[in-house]
Amino acid sequence: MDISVKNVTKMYGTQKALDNLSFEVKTGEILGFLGPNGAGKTTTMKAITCYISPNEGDILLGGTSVAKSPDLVKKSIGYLPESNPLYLDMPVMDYLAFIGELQGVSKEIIEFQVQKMVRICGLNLEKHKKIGELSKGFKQRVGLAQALIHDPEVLILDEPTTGLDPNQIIEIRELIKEIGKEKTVILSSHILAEVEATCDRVLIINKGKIVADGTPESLRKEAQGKEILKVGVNANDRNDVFTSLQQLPEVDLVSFVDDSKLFEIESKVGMSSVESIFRMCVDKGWFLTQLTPVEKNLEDVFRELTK
Amino acid sequence: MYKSQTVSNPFWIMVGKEISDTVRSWKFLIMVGLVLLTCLGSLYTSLSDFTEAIKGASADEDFFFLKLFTHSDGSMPSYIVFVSFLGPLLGISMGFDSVNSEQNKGTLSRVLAQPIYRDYILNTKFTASLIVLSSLFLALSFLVLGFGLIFLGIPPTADEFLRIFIFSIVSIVYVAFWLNLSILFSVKFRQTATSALAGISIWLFFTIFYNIIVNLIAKGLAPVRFVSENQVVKFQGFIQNLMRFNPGQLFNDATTTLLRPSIRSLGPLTTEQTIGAIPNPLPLGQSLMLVWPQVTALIGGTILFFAIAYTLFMRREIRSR
Repeated sequence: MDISVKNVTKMYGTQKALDNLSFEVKTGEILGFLGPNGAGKTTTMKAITCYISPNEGDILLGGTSVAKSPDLVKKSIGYLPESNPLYLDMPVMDYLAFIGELQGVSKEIIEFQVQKMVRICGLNLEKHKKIGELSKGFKQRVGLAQALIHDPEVLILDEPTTGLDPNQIIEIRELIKEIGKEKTVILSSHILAEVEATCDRVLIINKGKIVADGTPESLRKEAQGKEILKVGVNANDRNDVFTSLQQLPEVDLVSFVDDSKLFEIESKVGMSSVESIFRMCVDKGWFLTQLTPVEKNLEDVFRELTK
Repeated sequence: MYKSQTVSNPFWIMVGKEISDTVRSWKFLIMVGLVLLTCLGSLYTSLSDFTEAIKGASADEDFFFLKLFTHSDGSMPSYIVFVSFLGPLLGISMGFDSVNSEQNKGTLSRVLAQPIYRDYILNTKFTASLIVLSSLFLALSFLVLGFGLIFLGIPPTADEFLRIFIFSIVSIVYVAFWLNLSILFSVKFRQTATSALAGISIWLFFTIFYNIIVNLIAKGLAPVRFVSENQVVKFQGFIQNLMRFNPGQLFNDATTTLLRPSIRSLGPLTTEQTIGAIPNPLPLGQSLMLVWPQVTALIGGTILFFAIAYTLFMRREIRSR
């Protein structure tokens, strides 16, 4: 089910949480939602889940307007809110059955569906416990299970791995990736590595506006601009190497890295210095120990776009 | 997505969950224990002095079962006094954290993300509490009836049974009045402690301070000794109307009239009006007519508080923590 957010504006008093926001998500796509605190990620997710109404604009899920048919839309959405609120006094099975029934899962299959979610989310050993007795990781699994109980076509996860240990994070990521093969998934996270590892596409939002949209790879390339290389040359005089590197026509800037025989080289726009450096070392009889491109990671892109 | 085959109504699913939450909660169990204990205590005091209670020659003496609810040997208050005292506390305890605690825990946003109508939240909480209260009060009344049956060895008359049944309904309405007031506070105040305190303050005000205030007003406005009978009756009527702003007074008027068929009027009566009156018990229909304004006022207050809570809740923008 495709999601289409069209010119959505949301005001909280005088503060503009979303500013004419528009984007689309295709079926089977996992979209990572990035942005600093207060950027409007959660507000966007709440607007998609019909939890709050935008002041302007509309959101369509599979062509159905969220504003016009919220009940229909809610049945197609599984939502895991940021704080994952749960009824702590309820046993896991009862809670899942309760949410399933509210979502309109028929009586004939509710038991089957609850068992299925318990299996998928790895809750089998904990299924008879009260939710309040579970660890944070298992509570998160219960949250995910409740979001999936009615087999929704769209899954919206607001920081799904917050507070989990590394093993749990990897497990939940794998689960999301598995789910994302069939469903449309939007997930927000502060962990950029998680978005990079899980999502097909990244959307960076700042002050209610989209500032970047693309695959993690394309965003990195876009932000890269100039080629940056880390070069290690084994020569007697490192100042001699420095001067020779500076004289190469493709090189724009050379700098020492620490006190070692490593240099960081910035090439001129649209040019590559790799071949020239290699030839220079061969000509001068220097031993090239390292020639590595320095890539910008998503964190750099995020910082550049949101600072 | 699974399309509905036999899909339960979300309203009743939520009511079921609320009932389950309520009956499992410690606060409810404590309150029920307290109500049960005091009611059984008052039943015991009533039965221990029962022969004295039915010795007299008033119009009420034939209604043995009604005596179980109104008579006491003096060591403990009677059943209706206990209900009038503890009923509001029960209502407040069931409603003071119904909405704000869910909002504080964030579960309100979770439920609202499901395909349900927003007003289901409030409606189901009220309905569930009302079902629990109704079960409790009907069970208590039947329990007293059952004990009476064992002790007296005769069944209640139809009139007695109906009076006790209507008394239970009035008790439920009275507790629902306090329940809705506390639900209103739970919508209005974000902190559960504040809403509980607000509810208890109003209960204390009407239980203790309101009577003192009315007495002060009565003393200040009391007519001088030599005034006409008409003026005295008017003054008494005024004071009585002031007292009727107290929901406890309305409940007492209604239940006393229902359980004591000899009561023929709830207002001041002149000697002329009582001359010639036969000291017979009132038929149930007449007793009902007598208490109709009181019951209507209690129902009206209940609906008013619910309407205010409903409006506040529907207009509020709920943001998660």
